[in-house]
Amino acid sequence: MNRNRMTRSRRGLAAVALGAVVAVTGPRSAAAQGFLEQEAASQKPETVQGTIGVRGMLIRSDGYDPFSTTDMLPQVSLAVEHPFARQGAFGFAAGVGMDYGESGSTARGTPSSFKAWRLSAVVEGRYYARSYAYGFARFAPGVLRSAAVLTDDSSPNGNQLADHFDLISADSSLGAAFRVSGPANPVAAWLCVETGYSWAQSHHMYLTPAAPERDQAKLAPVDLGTISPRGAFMRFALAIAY
Amino acid sequence: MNDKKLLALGLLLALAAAAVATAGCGDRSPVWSDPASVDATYGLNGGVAILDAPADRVVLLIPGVEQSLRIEHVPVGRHILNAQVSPRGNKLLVLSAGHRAAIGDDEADEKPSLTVIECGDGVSTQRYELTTLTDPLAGIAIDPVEERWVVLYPDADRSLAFVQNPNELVFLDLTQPPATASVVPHTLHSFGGRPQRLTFTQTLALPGGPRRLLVVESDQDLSILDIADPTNEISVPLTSGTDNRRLSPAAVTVDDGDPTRDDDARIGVRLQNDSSVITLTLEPEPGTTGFRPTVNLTDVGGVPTDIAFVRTDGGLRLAALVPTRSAAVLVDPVTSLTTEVALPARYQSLSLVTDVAGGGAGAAVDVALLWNGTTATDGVAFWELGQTAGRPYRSIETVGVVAAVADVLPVPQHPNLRVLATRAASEFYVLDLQTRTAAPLVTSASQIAFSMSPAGDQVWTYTPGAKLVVATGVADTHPRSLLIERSVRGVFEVENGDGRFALIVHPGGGGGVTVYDANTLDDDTRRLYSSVLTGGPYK
Repeated sequence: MNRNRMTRSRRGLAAVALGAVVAVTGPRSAAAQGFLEQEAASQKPETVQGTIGVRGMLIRSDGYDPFSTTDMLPQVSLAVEHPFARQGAFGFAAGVGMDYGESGSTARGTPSSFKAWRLSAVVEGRYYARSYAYGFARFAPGVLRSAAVLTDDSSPNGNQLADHFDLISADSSLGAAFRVSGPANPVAAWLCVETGYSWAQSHHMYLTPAAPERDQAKLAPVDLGTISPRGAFMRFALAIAY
Repeated sequence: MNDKKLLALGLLLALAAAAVATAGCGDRSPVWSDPASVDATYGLNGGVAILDAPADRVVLLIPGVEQSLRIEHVPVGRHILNAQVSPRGNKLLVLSAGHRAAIGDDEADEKPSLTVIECGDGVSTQRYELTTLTDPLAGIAIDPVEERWVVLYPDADRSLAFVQNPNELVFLDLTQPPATASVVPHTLHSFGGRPQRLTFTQTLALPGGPRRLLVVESDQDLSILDIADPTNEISVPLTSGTDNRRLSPAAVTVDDGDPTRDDDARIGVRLQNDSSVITLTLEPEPGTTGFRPTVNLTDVGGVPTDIAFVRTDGGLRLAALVPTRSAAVLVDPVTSLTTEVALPARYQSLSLVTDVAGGGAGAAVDVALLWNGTTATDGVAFWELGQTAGRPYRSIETVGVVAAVADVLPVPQHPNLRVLATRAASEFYVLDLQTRTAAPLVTSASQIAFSMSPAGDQVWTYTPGAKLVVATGVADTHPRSLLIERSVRGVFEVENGDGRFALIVHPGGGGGVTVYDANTLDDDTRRLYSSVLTGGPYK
């Protein structure tokens, strides 16, 4: 098969890229390697994978305190990936991902909310330990669009005070996926669990009420300090591959 | 890798994910969940202070050029009990109970403390630890003359101490730095009473040298203390041992007498539940205090509502207003002889205005302003204490104010002016004491409140809870309204190095403020601030 004709240098690159996953799974025998390659080769190659999941992100930044009683930002995740360059137990996938989350609370009695929408490019290396399980390492640089909002009665006309801002972000994570559909089914369903660290720039929040241009100078922003929307995260997802 | 290892790897990842979720269960300060409130707002000379009790802090709002607003967070001791502005308005004193840390307590032990915040060109803070107290006294009395002495006293409404000595006072000298200041506790020699009011006197010429006194009124007796040495105390029971009535003082007034003599300082006392007034003359006596009060009890024919020492053609008298007789009674403190003066209305309050409406400071006879009548048209009257047309003390001149005056407000920098707040609160007057004229200003709303500009050139009128704020020039009585979008809790005019500003404080949410240039009152240059109490950080 074409995949088996992959050059030695490409195979070496794959091994380096997925070194972390290999280290976790530990050494295995040459017999097992041959078995896996045969098993992988016998399956229909997946060309597209869609993922939907839930993600929880831990934001320790003090700037997040007005918007949540905990440090957790719950999110939903969507991703579309194209698996490619499968070589034996190793494989690659690339695609785009999106996470959206919001939290709400009260800040000194004032209703508050924080919304985060992340669009990222996804690069993923996989190691297929079994036909029904693989581990993966993922890197996802992207853009984080956020909105911090207070609904303050003391603001002019009771308007909301808001700060919308865009930040550069990058996620790196490790995870595992388990196939829950039968091997004969052309549509594969995978349950994925993933944990990692999400980094984003910091931002000093100045929340302003909405007003016409001519009135902007009369309205002072509310200084809510600096938020650093970064921290460890976990994700549980269902992936459908075809 | 066998299946067991694979399962272990999956479980490891799931555990890591669960650990992330668990770690997210919050370390946010509980203060974020406590509503902010602008209910306790104080005007200071350089800014406005808001007491943020849940956060154990004071939020200072300091206006600046182009109506900017600097927001400073000043931490104070834990569990705020009381706060008061000093009489000159340059300091805010915050009394805190502290925190007594039990075994294993996450929070450190903290002694009761008094934080003195000064807001002028800059903000300075001094914290006095009250280490001698476990359960702090919650009442604060500040020396209005020098702003030197602070006396803490028991306030049952604010303290939850299991056992409290109601006659315990604590003296603190604010001229001493916190490191060396000593806290002086003193228990009054009580005859069973509990302190109700504290009055700081001016320096009095007393036997043994000039001194300042603290007069403490309890619910049945009176104590006189040397402020500098509280152990020098004289307590005077007001109830006779042969009488089961308990006479309760309602107010005191103090007079130094002839400045060249040290044996004629007097304290006048009116009673809540008796028609007598009491005069205490501080006469020389060998002993630690150097003086002894001689008590005179004089019946004035009805329960007096106000008293003051006044100078008349006949000498010093204690004037008592007796509204039930529609009269004032002048009591000779030496002979206790009385002279009744009929008044045109049942006035309940008087203030001396000799400086501007009489012969000026040092005049031989006083002029008093009478106000707070019992009917809706009583207005105010000037009472000349000199002899006029052969009728001693009977020169009473009413002013054309057809409303019951509930309060007489001084106007800073303008000793000749007073603002008369009416009981109906639907109008007010600017009274000129020199010309004895009163300019009326009618309002469309009732329940109006006032504040004065530090320069005394305008009086601010507003209705708490509404959106109505008006500045009225006291010179031309010209009202100028402000454009206010949010309901108003308080109005404060602040003057500092950057100019004059009006800060209108709005309740709700995180607390809002509108800042106007108090000179121009230009709507176009006003700035609106929201959520001034929302920002952290919090402990």
